[in-house]
Amino acid sequence: MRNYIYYRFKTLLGDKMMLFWTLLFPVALALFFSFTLVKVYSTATAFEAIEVAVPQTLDNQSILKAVLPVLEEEDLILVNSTKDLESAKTQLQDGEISAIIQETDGIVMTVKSSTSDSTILKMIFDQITQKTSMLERIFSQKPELAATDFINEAYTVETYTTQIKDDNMSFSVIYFYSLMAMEILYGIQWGVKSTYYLQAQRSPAALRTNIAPMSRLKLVLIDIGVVFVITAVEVLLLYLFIRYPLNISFGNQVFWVIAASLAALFTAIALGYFISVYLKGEERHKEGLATAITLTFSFSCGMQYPGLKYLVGRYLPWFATINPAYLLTDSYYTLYYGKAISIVEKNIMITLAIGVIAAILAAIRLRGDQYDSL
Amino acid sequence: MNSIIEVNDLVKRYGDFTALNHLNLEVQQGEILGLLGPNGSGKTTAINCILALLRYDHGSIKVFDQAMTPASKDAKRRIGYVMQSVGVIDELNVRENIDYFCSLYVSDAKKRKQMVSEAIEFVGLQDFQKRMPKKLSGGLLRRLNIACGIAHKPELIILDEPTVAVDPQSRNNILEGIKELNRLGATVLYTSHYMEEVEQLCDRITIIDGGKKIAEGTKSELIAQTNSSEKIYAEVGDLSEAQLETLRKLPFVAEAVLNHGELCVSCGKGDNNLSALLAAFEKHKIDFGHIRNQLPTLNDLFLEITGKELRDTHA
Repeated sequence: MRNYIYYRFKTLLGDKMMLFWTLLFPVALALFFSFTLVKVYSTATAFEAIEVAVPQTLDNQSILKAVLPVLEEEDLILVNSTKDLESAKTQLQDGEISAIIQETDGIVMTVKSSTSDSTILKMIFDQITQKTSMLERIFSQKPELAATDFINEAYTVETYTTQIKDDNMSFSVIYFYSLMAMEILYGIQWGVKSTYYLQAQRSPAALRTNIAPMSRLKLVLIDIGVVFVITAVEVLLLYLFIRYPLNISFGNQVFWVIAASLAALFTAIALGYFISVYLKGEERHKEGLATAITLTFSFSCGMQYPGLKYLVGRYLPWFATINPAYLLTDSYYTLYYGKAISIVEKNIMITLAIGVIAAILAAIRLRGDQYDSL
Repeated sequence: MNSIIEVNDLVKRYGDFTALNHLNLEVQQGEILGLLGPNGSGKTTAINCILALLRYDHGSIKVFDQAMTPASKDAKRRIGYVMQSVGVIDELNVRENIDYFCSLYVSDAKKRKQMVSEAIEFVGLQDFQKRMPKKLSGGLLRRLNIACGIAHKPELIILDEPTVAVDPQSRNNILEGIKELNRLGATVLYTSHYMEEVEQLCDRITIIDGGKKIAEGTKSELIAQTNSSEKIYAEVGDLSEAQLETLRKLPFVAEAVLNHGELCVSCGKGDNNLSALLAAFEKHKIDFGHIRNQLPTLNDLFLEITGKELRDTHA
C-alpha cells in the first residue's frame, strides 16, 4: 500500500504543466500584483494628498460636503479653489489636478487617464457610495440609528482613511485573498486529474487498475488523501510567500485562516471529483470546465476587479453563497478586520456543506464497481 | 481438463445494439484459445465482461470455477490482462510502471522486486528500465504493456489484440513470448482479427461475429468444416484439350481450368494432392513452370458462414 501511495504522489507530481499552473503561476501572479501595486502602497505610506477640483457649490445634504473635509483632514486629497467646470477641465488636461469630483445623483469622478491616483480616488469614492447607500437603507428601516454614533462607527471614509494610512495593504489585500482563493480552487483541477486514473472508461491505465484485486473505495480514498496533501502544500507555500516576502496580512487568527482554507480546499477537490464523474465527454472538456469554474469563482470574488465582489454580494447573493472562493475571501476579510468569528464559522459550514454534497454525489458514481459501457 | 473460463449464454446490449448475442465460450486449463473475429465482433466486450468490468444483460461467467464478480479478488489476483491500448502511466518510467501495476497484486516488496526484474527480462526491456514511456518506440511500448500485465505471474493471461500496429519483428517477439508463457504454465485467451496469428499461436480457436460464436475447434477441425478445398496453380503454357481432360479424370481432381497458360486444379478432400499432380504431369509428359498450392483458410470458413471476409491480412 505504501508503494501505491508513493507512486500516486509521483504520478500526480510528475505532471509538470499542472504544477506550473497550480503553483508557479499563482506565485508569479502574486509577484505581479506586488510589483504593480507597489506604487499604490508607497503612495499610501508616504502619502501626498491628491489634488482634485470640485466645481460646484455643495449643499448641506450632499455626501461630498460631509466627506471632503474628512479626506482633506487625513491628507488624502487636496481640493483646490476652482469652482468653474471649464477651468477645472483645463486644469485636468494640463495635469494640475488628478480628477474632477462632482455630485449629482451620485458621486461622479472625471479623470484624464488611469493612474495610481485615480485608482485610489475611485476606490475611496466607490466605498463611500456603497456605504452611503447601505446607511440609507438602514436608516429607512431604523431611523433611530441616525441620531446615534452609528454613522461615525459605520462610516467607511473614516475607517478607510485610517486603514490606508495605518496599513498600506488594506485595499490591495483583496487581490491576494482572491489569489489564495484561486489557488485553493485549483483543487478542482487536481480532483479531475485524479479520477483520470480511477475510472476505467477514462484511460487504459485506469482500466488496468480497475481489474486489480483492490477495493475501489480504498483506491479512491487514497487518491483523495494524496490530492489533498499536494494541494494543501501548494496552498501553504503560496500563503507563506504572500504572508512573509510580500508582507500581506491575514489578521492574527491563524487557526481560523487555516480552517477556512482547508474547508474550501476539501470542497474544491470534491467539486473536481463531481465534475469529472458526472460530465461525459473528452478530458479536455472536463479540464476546460474545471478551469472555467475556477476562474469564474475567483473573478467574482474580486481577482481582476475588487469592486466585483461587492456587486456579486449585492446583486447575486445566491451565487456568492455557493461560491467557495467568495466565502473564503469573505472569511479572510472578516479575520483581517477582526470582525465576528461567527461569520467565518458560517462561511466554513456553508463551504463544507457544498463539499459534502459534491463528495457524496461523486462517491455514488465512483463506488460503482462495474460500468455500462467502456 | 478443467475449464478456466466458462461463459454461458452471455448477452450484452448497448441500447438497441446487441454486442454479445448469447455467446458461449470455454477456455481450458493450459491451452491457448484464440478468439477470432472481425473488428466490432464483440471480442473486447466479451473480455470486459469476463473481467467483471462491464455489466451484462444475461448469462453467466465463471472464472477458476467461481462466478466472476467485481468482488472476486481471488480470481482477479490470478488473472493478467494485456489490453489493446497501451495502459501505462506517462509520469513513471518503465520499471516504475511495472512495479506500480504489480503492487496492485503483490504487496511483498522483496517478492515484487524479483517479479518486476523477471518481467523486464522476459520482454527484453533491460536496457530501457529508466526510460519514460513517451521515449519508447511503438514496439517497446507494447512490450512494456505486456510486462505490466504479466509481472505478477498470473495463471490466466488475457491478451486483447496485443499486436495491433506493431512491426513484424516485434509481433514475432510478442507471439514467441506468449508461447513461452504458455509453456511456463499459463492459460491464455488471445483475441485477434489476424487469422494468421491465431492459426500460428492457438491450440483451439473460437470464431465470433456479431457477438455470436459461429465456429469452434482446432485449426484442422475448422478447416475440415469448410467446403473449400486445396487449389493448385501451375504454369503449363499450351495444353491440349485431351491432356486437360486426362487431368480432370484424376481421382483427386474436382475441377481443372486453363486460363491464359495457368492451370488451376481444385482438389477434393485429401492429402498429398500436390505430389499426385506432379506425378500425373510426369506420366502424361506435361511440361510446367512455376507451381504453387493454396490450402483452405479460416477466412474461407468465415466467408462461407457469414458471406463476408474475415479481415485484411497484416500490412
